[in-house]
Amino acid sequence: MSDVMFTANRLDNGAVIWLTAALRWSEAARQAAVFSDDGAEAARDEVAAACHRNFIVAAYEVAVDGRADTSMRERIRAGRGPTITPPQDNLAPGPRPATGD
Amino acid sequence: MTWFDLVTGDLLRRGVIGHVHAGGASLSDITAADITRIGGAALAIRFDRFSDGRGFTAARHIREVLAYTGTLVAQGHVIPDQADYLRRCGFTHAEISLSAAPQWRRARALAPPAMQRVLDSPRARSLIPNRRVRSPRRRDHQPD
Amino acid sequence: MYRYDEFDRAFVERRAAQFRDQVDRRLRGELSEDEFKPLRLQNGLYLQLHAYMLRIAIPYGVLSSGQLRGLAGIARDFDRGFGHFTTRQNIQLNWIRLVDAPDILDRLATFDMHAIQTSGNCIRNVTCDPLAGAAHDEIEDPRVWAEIIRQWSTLHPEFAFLPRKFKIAISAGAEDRAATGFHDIGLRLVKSRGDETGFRILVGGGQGRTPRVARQLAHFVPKRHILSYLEAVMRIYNAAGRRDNIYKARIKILVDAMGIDAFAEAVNTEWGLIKDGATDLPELEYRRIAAHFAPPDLAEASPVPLALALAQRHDAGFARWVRQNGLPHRLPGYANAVISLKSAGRPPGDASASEMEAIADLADDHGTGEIRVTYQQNVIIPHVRRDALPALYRDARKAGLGGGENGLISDIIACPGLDYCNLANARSLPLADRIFQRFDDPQRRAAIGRLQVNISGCINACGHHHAADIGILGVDKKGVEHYQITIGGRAGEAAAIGRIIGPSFAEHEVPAVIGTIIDTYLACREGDESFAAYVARTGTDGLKAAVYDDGVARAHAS
Repeated sequence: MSDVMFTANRLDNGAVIWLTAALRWSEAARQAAVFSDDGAEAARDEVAAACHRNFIVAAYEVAVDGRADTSMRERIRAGRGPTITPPQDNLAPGPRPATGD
Repeated sequence: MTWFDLVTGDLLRRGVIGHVHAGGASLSDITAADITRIGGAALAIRFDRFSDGRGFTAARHIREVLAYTGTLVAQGHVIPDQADYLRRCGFTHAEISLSAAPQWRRARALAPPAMQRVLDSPRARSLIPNRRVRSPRRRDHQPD
Repeated sequence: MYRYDEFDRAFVERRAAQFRDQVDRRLRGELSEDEFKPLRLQNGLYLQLHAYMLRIAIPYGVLSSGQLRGLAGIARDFDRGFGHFTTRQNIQLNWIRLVDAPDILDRLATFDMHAIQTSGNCIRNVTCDPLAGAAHDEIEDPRVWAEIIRQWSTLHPEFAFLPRKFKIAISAGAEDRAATGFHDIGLRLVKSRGDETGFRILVGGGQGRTPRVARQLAHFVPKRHILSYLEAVMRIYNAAGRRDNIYKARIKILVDAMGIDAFAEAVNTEWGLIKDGATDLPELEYRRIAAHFAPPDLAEASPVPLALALAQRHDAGFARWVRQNGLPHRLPGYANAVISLKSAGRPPGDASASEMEAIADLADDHGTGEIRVTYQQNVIIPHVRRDALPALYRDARKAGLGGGENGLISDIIACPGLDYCNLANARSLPLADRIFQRFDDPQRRAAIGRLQVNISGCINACGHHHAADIGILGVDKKGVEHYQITIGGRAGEAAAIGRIIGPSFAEHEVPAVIGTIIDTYLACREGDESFAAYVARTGTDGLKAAVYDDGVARAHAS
């Protein structure tokens, strides 16, 4: 069985999250744990539970080779934003913080 | 399971169903003869999946083309948020579990007003008076 | 433009309240994600690569300055201060929180906007010629019909759960600026021999994995019957469209399977049953809606004002801008001004909140307070006096918006691509910028002339690459982003699908490949024929040879 990482989006704010070694969810990609064999089974149970308690949506597994760089898609996702610079607003940001900070 | 009245929000004990039109069946699968045969029993249209919208077209066909005027029940996988769509396409009832009744009542109450005319039947008219001028011509076989 | 009455306002407010309840039920677990997803999509909320994306409806691309300022405020208060104008005349925000969505919809309702049916398996935003009501070549204003069809299709109870999405476009001009040939239903306003106005109906166009140019379904349907006719089409599609495979579920596949004649016959039979019923609009209601689109009162203005001629003579940049961006108006003393959202370092179609406010100011100061969003991801200020063009250009430049040139090679259409989208195989935005930069010499751009470059990050073709002079399709080749080139697509009246010219290229090779194509065209064209005319005359073999046969060496050259 290959090594895997688990990722999803938070239901309430859409933020990208990763499953840590402690089976908790983190927005920091560097805290994403690599699971194998029995560990992966326990992780899958947590993924199902997190769906069931309406915390996450769109969960999936990412096959990894050690912690080697995964696909371009996962790298962009872990980077939490586009690889280009969007247009900058001239005013100070409004009272509500953007998600995923 | 119980029957939820899409117009009044009341709950009814399930009646006798004379014919079930499968959601995926062709419209030609149900004929005027079928309707006459069931007499006073109800007609049902089954939704295999709530996102399979063929049942709505089947309901309108049964109302408008076959001029069916009896009880029309939505069976199978339908969700409360479809309550108003079902009613406006000519369903009189949805078959639901008792525990879902509060959600159906709430969904029915929250439905926005109708943007377009669908059926002319009084049972299918929007709850908010339709602001459009009533067309003077009615087709001969419109149900009452 | 159409102004909401109390009924319309009550409608969007109730819809927002309904969605708030749906979000609450989802968060509490009373609705599963499977049940919630279509409800969320039909309010424009799409889970994307980084977060939820909200696609706000801009009906047939028309906005008031007040609405555009309202959108700027939402981008600023609920997102990261910018938005993206799409090929379907909508606007997208990329970092929306689900818990904020009800508040956003409430706020949208305060300026008569919403996100209804911008996603999901339903009838989507009806798009239109962005010059509607201001065009020099139209039979009548198609926005009247876009609004009528919008109302008819909004929360239509029979068509909320179609096999797949459904896109309608309307054109009324001699030139088709709404890409009707690439829509599920394309409507073209035409006059019959008896001088009656009606619609020529096209069906089954689309991009995606099986691109199709729409075929004629009906050569003339009288205006007054358009809703019953559309209802007949939708009913046949809803009943018979495939639901077993999302890649085979569009109406184009059904038309292929049945054949256009059998399909037309099925529609006509159904139409016969319903055409004298309650669907079509009573005359009174038609006139109520049409009254909203009465032409604005525009004062007489000179078609050749001195101020304009002087500005053109003294400012080469302005002269270039006005030649490309000052589009003809139905009145000779006026123009429709394109504000291009294509510039160095700018993702095509993106505008910051402050830029949106600047555009609103341009519309108020130099136009009639109205803005149009175009299929090419730009915006247009309609009804600008020609003698006001220098002032508009000056103010646009101050806001950083006076640069781009409409219709030239730099006017790239690009989908958001892998930088934002869950479905993408490759990024589109960095490549768009590299191509833009490669053609940064304005004289070279002018020499090349009209040339549409479109980039799609995946086979779903949201960048409309099939309909481009030069189309670029992102593919995944063993985990590395690669790009396939197509040539000879066209979006207007003579719609055509571009042809793939050969194997794909790595990203760093693509700008040079485009360069080779352009060089070959410039060297081989006859007189000043456009790229499209050149390809029509000579085909793609010459370009293929230039790009591939001289070796991949040619492609690597710069």
